Amino acid sequence: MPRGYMGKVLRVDLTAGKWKVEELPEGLMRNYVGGNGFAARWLFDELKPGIDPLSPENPLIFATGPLTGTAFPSSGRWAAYAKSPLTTAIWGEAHSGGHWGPELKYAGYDAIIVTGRSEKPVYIWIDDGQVEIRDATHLWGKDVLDTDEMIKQEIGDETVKAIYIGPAGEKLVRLACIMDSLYRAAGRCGLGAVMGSKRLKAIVCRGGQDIEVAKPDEFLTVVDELVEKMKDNPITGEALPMYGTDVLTNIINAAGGLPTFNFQQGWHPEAWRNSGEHMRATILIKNRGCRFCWIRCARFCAITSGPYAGVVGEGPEYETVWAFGSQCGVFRLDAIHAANMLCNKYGLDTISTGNLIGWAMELYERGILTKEDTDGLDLHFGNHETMVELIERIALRKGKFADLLAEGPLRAAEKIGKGSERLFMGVKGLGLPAYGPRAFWGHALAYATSVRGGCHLRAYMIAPEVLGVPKKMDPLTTEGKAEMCIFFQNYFAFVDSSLVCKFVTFALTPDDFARAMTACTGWEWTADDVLKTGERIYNLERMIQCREGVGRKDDTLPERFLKEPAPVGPAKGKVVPLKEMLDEYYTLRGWDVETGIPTPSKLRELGLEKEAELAEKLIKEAKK
Amino acid sequence: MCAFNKFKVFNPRRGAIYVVKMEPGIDAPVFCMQCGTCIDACPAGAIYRDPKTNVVMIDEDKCTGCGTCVTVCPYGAVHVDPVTKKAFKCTYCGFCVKYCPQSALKFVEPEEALWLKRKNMARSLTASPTLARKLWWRPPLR
Repeated sequence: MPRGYMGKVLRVDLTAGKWKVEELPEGLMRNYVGGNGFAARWLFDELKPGIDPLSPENPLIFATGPLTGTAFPSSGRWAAYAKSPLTTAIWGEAHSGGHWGPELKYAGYDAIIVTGRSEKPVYIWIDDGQVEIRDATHLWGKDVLDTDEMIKQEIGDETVKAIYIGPAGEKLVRLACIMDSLYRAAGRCGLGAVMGSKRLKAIVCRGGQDIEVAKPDEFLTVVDELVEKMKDNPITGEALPMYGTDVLTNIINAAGGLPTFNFQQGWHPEAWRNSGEHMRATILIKNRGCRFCWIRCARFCAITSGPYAGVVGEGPEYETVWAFGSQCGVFRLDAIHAANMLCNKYGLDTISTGNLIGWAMELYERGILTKEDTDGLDLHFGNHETMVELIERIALRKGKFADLLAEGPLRAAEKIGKGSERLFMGVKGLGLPAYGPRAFWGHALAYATSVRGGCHLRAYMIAPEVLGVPKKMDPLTTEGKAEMCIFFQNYFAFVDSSLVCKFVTFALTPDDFARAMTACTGWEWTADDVLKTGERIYNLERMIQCREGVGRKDDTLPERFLKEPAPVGPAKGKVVPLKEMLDEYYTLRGWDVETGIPTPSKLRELGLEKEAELAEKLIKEAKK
Repeated sequence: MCAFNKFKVFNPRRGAIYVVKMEPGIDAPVFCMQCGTCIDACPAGAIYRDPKTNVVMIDEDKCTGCGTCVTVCPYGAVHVDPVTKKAFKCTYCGFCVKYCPQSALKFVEPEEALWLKRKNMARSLTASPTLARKLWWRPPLR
């Protein structure tokens, strides 16, 4: 039996109101590690193709990994998985920091699989392995801040850790997220709506069980070494603790990749107003962080003057600052902080919401939307009052326009028509985050091929292209990009499965992970194993997509980046040469270049026999 | 990390240092102040003050796990471990100090501690909003 795991998975059927505990098979742990790996395996085996994501059959998985809750740096993480109601990418995944992930392990479980739909609202209470499904009628409709307090009062213990959805999730807003410890969010892919569709308000954990590692002394030596490495690294040791993730605003703006006015341009002279440096000088109170984290990038901020005076809470990070800042043309931190706090309160994903509002603003400026369509809102870029108002309306589905936007960009574009879908900046229905593809070609490839849609976290190509990790690459060439992108996707698939924070990858290599995993689980791990396992997990995730018809036709970028040259900034005049990078990518991946489906021989090499048979069938069908 | 040092497992609820979180925005460490209230209270006589370091120690051979010390402790800084059934508290070993990312914890010599205590006192005086208003408020000049 490997160490580092609790060895148990909790299955909850909300339709029947029953739960049972299952042992984790050893092969699953060895081949799929945890987190993403477990979820990929379970979703492939249990998700019926073609179901409605908001139906009771959609399994909602919460998972941790072997390193979660140990002393491994930044290991206070957890993740949620299901078929995504927001995107066409099928694979829906969202990660969050905070304290709930470790607490779930201390309570005795590595993962929870929730299926079915409860008749009335409920929440799950896990107390040291004991499970109870409790009535949550009185919590239904309450926002995140109230829910947290009410749950703690009801249980009578302030130290319990809970995840919950806000009103947005309850109203099945497809941008809804799952919140943890008030300010942390498992945001993307709209998994809050899945939780809401199950009428599951919260999962509350408390536990005092031990997480054991196989070789404690060796593990401590490795951890000491890794912590030193992180402290010495300029990004994890200096930039992120000092300015938070928002340190990127100035850097990315200088590189010409800070998407402004719904990705129309990649540079703006006012961007410094939103920067981490400016935040530190004005509204920052102190740093905060998740459990066992050495980076502590969370900013606790307070607004003391102006129209948003009195907004207090953990402040916006880079993506949020961009989403409600440059994307909407707003260059003031107080409005951004207020927007961020509203999203936290109602349980909305900040990136998707900001991207969506920026899109609506461009439609308004181009005359595709008029004041009649927008319920009287003046949606010009830079209009921060409307932006804040619209967030609340979307979360509560107030009014016709907000109700339309709450269905997500793809469905909204269908209704609006008039070429609006071409102006939506997203891949597979998931709004792009805060890096302009025209300035970072490798990152553009990462967007196009990311398994969950327009997402920067499956291959963070900004690391090599701007920050020089692991080596500096020119952002405006295609050379070596596919190879680096594949390396990152495989590596991150592993990091997401051992479930620690991706920020550690700035300082740590696959070899460091291998040593930590060896000391933790007691199994031999090498750097090759790490990347191989990551590749297996990534291919399996891809097969879940391909099974439902996703292929090369979906691995693309919005037209704007392929045809319209960038108007200003260092990347002026550039478009993304996606096709040549994609061809190289598929070839190096061992996927079918024409259809984008993994080839059977590749899957067999990774030990995925069942999937290989399916791939054979899919490729034959696609080529007919 | 405290529980890891003592028991070689990861479990914050078995550690002798506790972080109290109060929203919005307060996280504070709580641990033993070595006041010695528990020494007289212990029915088994298992708690004593180390003559060399003046730190209050628990003799695990004598401890019966009755929990009297938990009841009398004014800081909530001692608990009975659920596995070993012995009282467990901070003995100022300093293991956790190395693992505090914010450097909120320090392990210092008595001379330096004196100054830090004074600074803390000054801070707690001036940080209280009502007191600060009294200290800093001056009647307007005519």
